[in-house]
Amino acid sequence: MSLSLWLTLAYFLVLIPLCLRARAASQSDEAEDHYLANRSLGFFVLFFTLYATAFSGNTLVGYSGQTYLHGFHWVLTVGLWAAIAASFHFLVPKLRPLSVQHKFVTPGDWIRFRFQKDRTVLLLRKLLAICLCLTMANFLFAQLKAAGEIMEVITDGAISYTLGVLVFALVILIYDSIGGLRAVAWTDVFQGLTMFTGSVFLIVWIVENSGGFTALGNSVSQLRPETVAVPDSSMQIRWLSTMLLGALSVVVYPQTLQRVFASSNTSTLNKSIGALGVIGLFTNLVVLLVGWCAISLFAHTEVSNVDQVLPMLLEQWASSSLLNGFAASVVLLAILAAIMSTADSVLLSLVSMLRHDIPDHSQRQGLRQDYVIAVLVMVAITLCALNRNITLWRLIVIKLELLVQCFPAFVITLHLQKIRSGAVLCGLITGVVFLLTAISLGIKNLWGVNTGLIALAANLTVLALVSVFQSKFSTPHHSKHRL
Amino acid sequence: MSLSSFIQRLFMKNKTLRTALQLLMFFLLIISVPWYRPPGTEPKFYLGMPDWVALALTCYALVIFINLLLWLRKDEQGKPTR
Repeated sequence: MSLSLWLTLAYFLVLIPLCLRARAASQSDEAEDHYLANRSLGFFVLFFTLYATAFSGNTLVGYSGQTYLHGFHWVLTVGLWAAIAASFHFLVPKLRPLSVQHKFVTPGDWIRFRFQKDRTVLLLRKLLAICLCLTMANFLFAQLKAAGEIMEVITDGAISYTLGVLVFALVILIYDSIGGLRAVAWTDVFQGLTMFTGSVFLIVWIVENSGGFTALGNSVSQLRPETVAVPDSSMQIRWLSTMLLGALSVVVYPQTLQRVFASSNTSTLNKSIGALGVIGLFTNLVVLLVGWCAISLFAHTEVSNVDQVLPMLLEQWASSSLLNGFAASVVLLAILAAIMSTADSVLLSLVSMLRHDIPDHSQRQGLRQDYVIAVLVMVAITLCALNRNITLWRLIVIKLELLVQCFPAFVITLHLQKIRSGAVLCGLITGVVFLLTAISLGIKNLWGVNTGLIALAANLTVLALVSVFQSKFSTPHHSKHRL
Repeated sequence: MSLSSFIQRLFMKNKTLRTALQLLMFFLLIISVPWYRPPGTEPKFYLGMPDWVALALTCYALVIFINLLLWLRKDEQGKPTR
């Protein structure tokens, strides 16, 4: 698939002028300009940057692999998206006006504002930032891993996994550092359009190749008969808990929060989030159909790594004709675009939190330290990504399990004004300790329920108990601000 | 009157309707999982898919449609800030 390589190179070249233009449009070296594009994102850019950021390499590569494994049962992935789309109603309508009024730049700014008079605000902000940074690092790691896997497959090993990871890391680091969110958002428009075009090509081919939806469904029924009947209770619990985990965790993604802050106005943001739900549903359906199509395509082929199902399918598609070769290359480009657009946003958010949410005080002018942090972070995560012995789905789950522990600090405290930082901090510590213990013991679920959700239940229980205790025995808020 | 302005007026006037639609979304998500059917039941097929899969996909499409309607309403909690 040398055409894919040429398209990939051309794609990298297109990013250069976009990146330079974004740099030229930059108005200052302030954090607000670098991380939020001076709160100037209109509908078109915001919609595509939300789309391109929400759909990562994990989604396209990891989910199609899981659908291949689990057949009809993996319809839960569409449910996961529907639950995520619905969950934004908990957060955006209340957080957006506050973020504009108080000029939030990072997620930590909400904590600074919400608990400004509490003694433990600093500790809470730092611990939350560490949790979010670990989540983001995991996410970035998964994107680099997905990029390496794809490059190796499409070049038949000519570009090794290691080289693929290194090249992607370097390209992302360069345009992320030069152009900030403006470059990321502008490239996301291009990447989002590529993803959508690729999805359309893919769905047309799948329907054509499989002989229609009914024939596709019939072949899945024949080859995965164990997934046809109504699933058992453990699968149903997994289904419900996956939707709940997604809904409560994705809503507090730092890169999504920062796009909520960066929108040019509230109406634009609302329209973008509504439209995101629709295009996300379409993309998830495409991923589902890819997995089902792969079941019949690879019925007699041994698939050692399910994360390579989609690249293998593309290879087969490309070899069928010259036109299909071009279409498959566009889809491949779409996957690489999904990986890059998520990775760049994650890197930007990660650096912004390391720079502004972990130190006691943050200086919002000058970007020299930000560049150094970006390089160090990218080097560390690239080295980690050279380890291939973990599936993308497992990475997604670990990420969501940790992220969901931050849900009370961002969403529950947004709605319940009496909660204080001490209660949130105790809950967070409980949830994280519970989760880390479960991960280290290799426990993925209890009674079918994801351990991340059980850790969240422990987190919320402690939060409630400490809140009751505080309201009965403690004095009113201190007057001194503790930012 | 355009469709979007009609939707906006409808939602502005009726807060109960918005709340009802939000609850409907969560109800649809809950019933998309076939917990109310005995496990192992042999399903009927629609478009080659078992009925419980077709029902789940229909529920998710409805959730996304309701979600779109809710976001398209004019934000009445705060004036556009910029």
